[in-house]
Amino acid sequence: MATDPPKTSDDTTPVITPEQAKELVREGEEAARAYRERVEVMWTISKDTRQTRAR
Amino acid sequence: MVQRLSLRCEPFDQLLDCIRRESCTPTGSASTPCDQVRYLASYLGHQELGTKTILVEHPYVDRHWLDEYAGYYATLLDPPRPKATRLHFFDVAWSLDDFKAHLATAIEGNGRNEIAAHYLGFCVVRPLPAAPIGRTVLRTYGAVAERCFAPAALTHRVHLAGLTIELVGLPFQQQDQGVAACATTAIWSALTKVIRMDGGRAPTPYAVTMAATDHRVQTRAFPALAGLDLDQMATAIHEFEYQPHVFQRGGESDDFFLALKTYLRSGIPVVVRARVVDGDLHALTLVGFRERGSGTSDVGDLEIRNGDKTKLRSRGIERWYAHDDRLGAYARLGFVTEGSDRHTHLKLLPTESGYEHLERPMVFSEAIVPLYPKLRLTAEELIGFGVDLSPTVRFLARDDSNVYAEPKFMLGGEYLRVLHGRPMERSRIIEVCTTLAVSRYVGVISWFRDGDWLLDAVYDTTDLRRGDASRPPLLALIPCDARWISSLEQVRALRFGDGPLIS
Repeated sequence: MATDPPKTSDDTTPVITPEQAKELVREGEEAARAYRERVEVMWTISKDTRQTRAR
Repeated sequence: MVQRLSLRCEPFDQLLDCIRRESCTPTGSASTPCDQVRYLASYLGHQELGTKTILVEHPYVDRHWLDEYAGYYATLLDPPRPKATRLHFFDVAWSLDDFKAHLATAIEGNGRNEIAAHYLGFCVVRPLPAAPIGRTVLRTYGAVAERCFAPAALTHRVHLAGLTIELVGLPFQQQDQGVAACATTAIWSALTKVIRMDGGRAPTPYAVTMAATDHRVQTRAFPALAGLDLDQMATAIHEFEYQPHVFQRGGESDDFFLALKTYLRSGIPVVVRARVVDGDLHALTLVGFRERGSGTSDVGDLEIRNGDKTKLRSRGIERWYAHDDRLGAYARLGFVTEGSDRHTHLKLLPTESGYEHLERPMVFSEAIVPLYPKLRLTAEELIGFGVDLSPTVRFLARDDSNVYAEPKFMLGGEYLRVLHGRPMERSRIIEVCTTLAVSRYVGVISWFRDGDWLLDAVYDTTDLRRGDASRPPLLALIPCDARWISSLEQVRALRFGDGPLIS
């Protein structure tokens, strides 16, 4: 069952301003782009690799 | 003549002799038991299961063995017998009279079913002295909270003496090379899970070999000595109407390992091809993992990096568990922790000695995952969405080094059930459950600081992402702390449009 959110010793929480939001989004997009480039390599499997048998 | 059923109880220390007899090993043969038989004894005898009794059931008609027999062994000049033996394992010391007494109680139905309560699993013994371990389903070890055996969470209904016993585990069998190579049995285990979970009937190893070699044959399909290549493994998965997703380890090992962890946490087994150092390419099925505990450990976190900066962090893995047909079910694998091989080389970690020849390091090279056809989003893409959102979560959590992301796929309805138990206001839970439209499977990235839940990001899985410009298919952001909502709305407006629910 759901309960109340845990109490923390620090009652304040950061507020993202519109300017900060732009910066956080830009940082995230840039990191995700770099990661996706590596994923492309993970998905590009050579013919030799595909035709090697596991036994 | 009709053959009568024979049941007998044996003490567990008779397991090796029992398998030797039931696999029709010639009397007086001096051969030592194979690794898989010794491993089975070691796994069952470990204190976490504590097996005490074997109930021997003969004859047993096993569909998987019968398929192999009809397709291959029946045409041998000197064929083995067509019927197998099934061994049932219990964690109490029972004689056959004890078993019958508990059966009587279970039939009366007014007491506890002791037979089901003490049941640990079964092993079909094939009449093949060199490869006796047929379809085997065993309980997993469960004493450590950090262990995840979601891919093995498959319920089998075991019929024994008129009782139906529910057993949870993933089938394993030893390769016999007549009908199945390691790649075949690895695909068979993985397909069994996903097909059964979708309500279908599990394939047999023979059917998997036939499916793999139906269109592309370079060598003989049977005997299956040559093994299978990656295209044939993918073909087999296609033939059973699942989608084979193939990816390889790139320059950053943690990218690969976090994708493996994501599928395993989602309950989807992953077939991995591993290059044994100075040896062959081998295939095994990953069926679980054990996360690093909160204490000190040589094993670091899994980190998605950009240059020298960590962009996404997931709890590290101390152990992987695999159905490895050279050894057995739920075999332990660990990273080599010394030197430059860290997070690249792994090795088997049997709990007993005598398997040193199998403990050579190996390098995971490719993974192949049987996916439900409408699960079009991959683990790698889901992790990419996590990287995209990570700066925002870390900013709101005011923490750069202790925020962990745990991505997984799950049924949309199952996610809503999970939400019922989240530590947040009930009114928000009700709002989400009554307004959020979910796909059959959703991708969920749950964020934690230490062990405390921070936020769930929920994604649609039924479409692919087209290019850098498109938005992640976000369905909802659900923070633990309601005070995050207005900040998340700022980010939504810039990155996700108005569609996603923030509650």
